[in-house]
Amino acid sequence: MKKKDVPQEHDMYGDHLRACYAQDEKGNYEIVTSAGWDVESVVNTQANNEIRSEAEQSRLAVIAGLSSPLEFHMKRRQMTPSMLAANAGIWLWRVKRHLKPAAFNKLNNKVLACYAEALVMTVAELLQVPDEVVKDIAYRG
Amino acid sequence: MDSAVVKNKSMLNKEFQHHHAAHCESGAVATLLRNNGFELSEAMVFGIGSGLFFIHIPWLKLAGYPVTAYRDKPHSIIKNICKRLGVRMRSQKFRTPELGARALDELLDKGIPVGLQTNVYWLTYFPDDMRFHYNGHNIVVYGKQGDDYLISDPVSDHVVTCSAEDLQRARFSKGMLAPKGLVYYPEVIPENPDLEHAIPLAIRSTVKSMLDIPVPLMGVRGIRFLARRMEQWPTKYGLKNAARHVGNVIRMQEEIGTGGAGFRFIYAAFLQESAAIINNEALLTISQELSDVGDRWREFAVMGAQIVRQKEKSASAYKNLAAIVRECADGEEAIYKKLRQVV
Repeated sequence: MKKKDVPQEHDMYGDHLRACYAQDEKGNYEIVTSAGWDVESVVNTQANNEIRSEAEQSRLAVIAGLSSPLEFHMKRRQMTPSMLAANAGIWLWRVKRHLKPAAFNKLNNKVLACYAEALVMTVAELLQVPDEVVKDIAYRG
Repeated sequence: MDSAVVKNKSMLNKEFQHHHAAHCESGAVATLLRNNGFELSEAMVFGIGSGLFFIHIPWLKLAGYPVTAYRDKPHSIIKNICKRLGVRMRSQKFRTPELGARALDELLDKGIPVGLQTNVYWLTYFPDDMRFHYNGHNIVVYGKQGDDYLISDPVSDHVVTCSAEDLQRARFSKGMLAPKGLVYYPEVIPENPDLEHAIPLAIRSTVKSMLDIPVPLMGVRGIRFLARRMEQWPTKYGLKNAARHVGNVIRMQEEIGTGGAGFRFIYAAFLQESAAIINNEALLTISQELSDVGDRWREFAVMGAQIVRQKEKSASAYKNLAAIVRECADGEEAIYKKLRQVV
């Protein structure tokens, strides 16, 4: 890649720039910063939209009584059941059961607290889903 | 190792220098070495660490997609650098987050910048859409101010800060590749590392893994395997899901911090730099050839993005896409064969 071809198409890294390896006029390689590439933005948006739409489907399923709030919060934190199991310290088969309302509703506070900690929220937050579409799928600190 | 010196003492009273890098692991190692007085570029770390690779495993899923990687497994660069240059890296994992936090603070108190393994999702200084659960991200911590850690993230162009709580979460995230609080820093750096010896060794090792592994998932055969699979994606997954698979490969090639073209450009930079060090002109030509293959990989990404954008909906688009990937495989195969002859 030539230095002049290093894409500067979006500010997709917030206030960060990315390092690309590119060649100057003499063909020597150096690190050139990039503000973003259209191609990257397309595939990144695709991936994020997919996560958002899965979270939204899950939210609607919770409201319809088909899924437990745990499933929504897991998806919102971009986790898979096995990731959640590892981080909450709960067996995978139990996690999978708890994604359904019947098993989830019977959980005691101790188990709920494990989930809440792994998902970085309070137990009260864990027990419900928002009324509106959630666009925010990143943890904000 | 008599000629070795403990460099860390010299760090005291010295201003920490941030270095911008393409890849987190080679970047973190280069930053640690350079701040300990060993001037080695990221490209050299990547090359001598034999970071370049290719692997495609359809049945091993990462975040729902087949694993496709343009580089070797996490921590192989660190291991190879230590082995080939005689660097001694001290590394430690922890049973509990509390122990890990205390050990980190003690090292920082001594003025030692350290490398950490983290989960990107919890690192709040990154833009939201760039954060995914990946436990293998390397960063360097060089200090603490109040409750915030001072961080030199190799893939960012400037230093950042991160709250103790967030960093703790990132260090002790569990699941695949769990970091377990890993900290590492160079303890011993040889005074005169033998680059002339290490470079051919490293190149031969990369050539071997790209050409000789008798499994069709890895190296050049892995690239051809990906091409074959890709042609089947539209029938196997349906057009919409196939496009997601294409998107995922492109992300592995470009988005995760590869310096462009799935590490092919950074490796070309390494070959170029090596040509001068081991006095081997042939490497310059080969470096240029790898750059050209890299450009072809970028064209693959551009064309793949058309599919993702749904501008290109026919299954025949996947045939064209696979054709480019095969061209890349052919180009790379020729390059590694040439490399084998000249080093």
